Amino acid sequence: MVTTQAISVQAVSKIYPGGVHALADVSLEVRQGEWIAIMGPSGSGKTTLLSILNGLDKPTSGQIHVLGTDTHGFGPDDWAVFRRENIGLVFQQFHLIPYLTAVENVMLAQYYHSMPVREQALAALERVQLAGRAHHLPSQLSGGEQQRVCIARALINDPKVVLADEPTGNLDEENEARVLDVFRSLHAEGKTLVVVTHDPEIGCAGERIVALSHGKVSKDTRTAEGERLLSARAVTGEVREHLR
Amino acid sequence: MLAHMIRHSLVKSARVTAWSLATLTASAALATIFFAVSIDVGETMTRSLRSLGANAVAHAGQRHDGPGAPATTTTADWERVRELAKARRADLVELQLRVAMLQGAPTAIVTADSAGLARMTPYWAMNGVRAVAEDECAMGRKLAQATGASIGKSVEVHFEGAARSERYRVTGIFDSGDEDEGRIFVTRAVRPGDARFSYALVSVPGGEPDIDALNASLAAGAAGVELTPLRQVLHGEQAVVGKINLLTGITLLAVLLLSSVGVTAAVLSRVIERRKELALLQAIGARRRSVVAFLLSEGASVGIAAALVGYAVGTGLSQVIVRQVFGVSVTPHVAPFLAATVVSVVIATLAAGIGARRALRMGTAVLLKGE
Amino acid sequence: MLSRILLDSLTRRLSRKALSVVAVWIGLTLVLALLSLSVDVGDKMNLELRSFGANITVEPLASAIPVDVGGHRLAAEAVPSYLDEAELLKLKAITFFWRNNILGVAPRIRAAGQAKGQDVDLVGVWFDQPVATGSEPLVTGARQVYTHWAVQGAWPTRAEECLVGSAAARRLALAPGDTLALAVGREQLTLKVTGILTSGDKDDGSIIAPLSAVQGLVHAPGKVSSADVSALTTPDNKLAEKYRQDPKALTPDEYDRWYCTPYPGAVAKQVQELIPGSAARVVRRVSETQGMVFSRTKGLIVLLAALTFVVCSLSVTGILTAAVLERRPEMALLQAIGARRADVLVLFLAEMAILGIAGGVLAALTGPLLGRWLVSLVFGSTAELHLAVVLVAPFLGLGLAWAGGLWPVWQAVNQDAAQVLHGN
Repeated sequence: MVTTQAISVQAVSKIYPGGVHALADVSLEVRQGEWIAIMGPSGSGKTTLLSILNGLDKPTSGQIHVLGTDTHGFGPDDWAVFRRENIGLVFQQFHLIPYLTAVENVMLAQYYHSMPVREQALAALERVQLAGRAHHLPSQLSGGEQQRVCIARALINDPKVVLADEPTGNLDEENEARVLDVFRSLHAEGKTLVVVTHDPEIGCAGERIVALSHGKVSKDTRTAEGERLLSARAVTGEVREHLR
Repeated sequence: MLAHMIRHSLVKSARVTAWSLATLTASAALATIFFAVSIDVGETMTRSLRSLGANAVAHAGQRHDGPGAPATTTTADWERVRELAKARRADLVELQLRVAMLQGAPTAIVTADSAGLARMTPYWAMNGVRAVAEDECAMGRKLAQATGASIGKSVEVHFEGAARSERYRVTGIFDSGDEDEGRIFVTRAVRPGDARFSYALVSVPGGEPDIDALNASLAAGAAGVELTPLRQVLHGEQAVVGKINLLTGITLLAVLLLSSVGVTAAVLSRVIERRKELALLQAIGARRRSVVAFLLSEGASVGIAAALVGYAVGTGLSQVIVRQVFGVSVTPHVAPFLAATVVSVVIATLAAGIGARRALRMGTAVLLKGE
Repeated sequence: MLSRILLDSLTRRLSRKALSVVAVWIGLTLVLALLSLSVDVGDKMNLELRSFGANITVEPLASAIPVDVGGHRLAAEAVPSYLDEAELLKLKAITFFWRNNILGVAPRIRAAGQAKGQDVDLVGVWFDQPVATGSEPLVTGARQVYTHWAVQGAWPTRAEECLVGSAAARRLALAPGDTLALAVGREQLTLKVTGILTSGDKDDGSIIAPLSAVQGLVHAPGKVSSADVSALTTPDNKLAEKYRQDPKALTPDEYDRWYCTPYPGAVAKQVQELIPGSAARVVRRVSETQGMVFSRTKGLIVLLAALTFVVCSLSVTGILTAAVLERRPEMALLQAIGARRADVLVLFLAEMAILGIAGGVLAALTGPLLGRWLVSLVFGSTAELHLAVVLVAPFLGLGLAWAGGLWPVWQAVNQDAAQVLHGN
């Protein structure tokens, strides 16, 4: 069993100009392959934490290691390169390029990673059940479809970590379920998932819920699913031990 | 409440505000420069040309009545002429012409104040220097060639009527290309008894209409003196100034058009950037009218600030430019300020209005939903 | 992929791109129009100085100096001296170096005569005289050279017609349509008055008749007393002044340069060399005014073109900036999916380059045309199309687009991407 930490946050604080303490001395460890949900009321700092994890924002103090890499001293371009190699981002507002088709939006991520391959991009869309809409512009897609394009784009470069910010915030129940399905399969593949949400249903689908309040970790609990998986892992471990 | 909102909205989006303010200010400044330079480019040019001396000659009246015995003692009231000229800011230099014999040929000897003559005839190309002292004279090149005179030599002129001679040392020989080239210019005062013919060189600010006006006041003042514009030069000036006015007019129009486009773009982008905010205002119950009023007053306040700063900057710059190009200073005008105001305030407000229309047309719901 | 993005961005949002292209197009059209105008303005303005009329007078070298004041001849010249009329034709002959700079020639012959029992000054001039030149014949004379002459009535068209100066007309009580009996010595001539002349100089006191008529009256066929020449010249500068102070002070090189530059003095000198027994003088009041007007005008046009360019750049920059600011979320997203800042910059600058060049190419088509129209509007003559102006247009468009795009894009890629993606 691999126990390396996918994400390690140590004593991170973020103070915005004007003295707003968005994060105060937050520490957090995320195992590789773990699926955690960050929850909390508005203004608790969950989005700030995610922005710091993906490098779009910088902490005021503290250290962050992602996949064993110390990100201290990373500039915007170092982060950009790091993201395209290792991190997939899913946004609440999807952020698709409006003048590119679904498949082109996916290929764009390939382009910055290595080189665009249409077949792979189509396959990624297939995976989110959007093969039929590959050549539509974002404006011709529903919200749920746009979100799945966004997920396909996040996955195209096979990242080890997927960071999602309110991925179902703009979706109806049916689409929410679909997105959850995709996340489950990602989890099953062993990807590390960090999902910011205030929807308990999404939160409970993961293994662990980290609750933030006023910029601090107020609770860090294992979900029922987490317990089940933990015991399952323990059982597997025992069996393995036993078989040996 | 509205004022409070405007103030805060301007301060909060300081960077965007700074950008549109900069664009507006630059446009206002340019409009000011253009107006200041072009509004009286004709007059500026004319004033600039006045450094070239006289543009009219004053003679005793009825002087064109033909050859024959000229009026050597004039009835003209020169004192009165000087006053009238002064009232119209015209520069007047009086000259006394006597006929004397030089090497057996009749020659014109002109007496004039040295500094005044230099002001009226700066276009003379001098070799040597102008006459200053009583026994000095400047001689036209044509006369010098005819008599073999040269700088440093003395000439003796004989007044046959008075049976008297005067001696002058030639200090300068000049080219003028007109009848002055056949004359001798001295500073020594004319003896009261000498037969003379008085005339004056006049530099009238402005063009032919101003000369006509001065002429009219001379006629009304019964000075017995008539002013003749040097039409050849004036005509040329007028033709060129007309072209320049047309040219600056066209350019001014183009520049106003362009800066309007630029300002509109700047203001529009500002409004579009804040579509969401506007949609929100509507969502919380603001009527369309008050949203538009908000945008318009915001546009106008940015515009006024830009107009003031732009006018100040533009006026300063146009002074420098006009001095560079024309060598004269410009009198500050109201028109450039109006231009600056129109460019920045009117256009900013107008653009804000267009922006408001566009923003409101987009639909509140769509905007609030996000993309 | 890059080209794909560019193509899609350009084709799928055509109306938005069109605004930027149109902005560059309009802006550059104006700039190019003024540019081609200012390329031409030197020549055109110089031609415009024609309206100053004669700036060189040619007289017989031996001419005695009359004493005139305000049209009064205080002391008459003893023996009249003349130039040959035929010699003046050489001014436009193919052999004369400055023939193209000679815009007009107006010979004059003076005579004193009697009319209605009073003494009058009689002046003979050319009216509309055709002069053979290398190419097309030039029609010249008083009408073309004395542009400041205002004639009330009509210009004479036949040999037995004349103009009467305004002062002379008053004195002799003449009006257009009257006939006038002239006597010079024992010669008699009857002329029909076609118009009253106002010139503002001594011609106002004279009768202006055709040259040949006056030549006949004074028994001097083919002779003229003087000639006024209107020449295209450049303003005097240090070299011209140096020559004037002392012609011998010039080095041979400087002398050649002076001789081959149409300074008023240089043209006058060569006119004098061309016409035997003549003395050509620069009318300095006119030439100095011309020089000043010319240099001021040139300065003004350069200023106008420069200011217009600044305004154009500013406006176009404003529009492009607006276009860039609208797309900040797009730039933030590209960074989020792994584009470095330079990648984003390259993408946007490439797009702006295409827009700028497109606008520039369009402006290359319309700008010179507008310039031509302006030239014909202002100067009433046609301008040449300047290839350089056309060629420089796409580059100006590119420069303008980049100047307008570089700063806002760089600002945008360095912005707080997290904030932008979050919709703030």
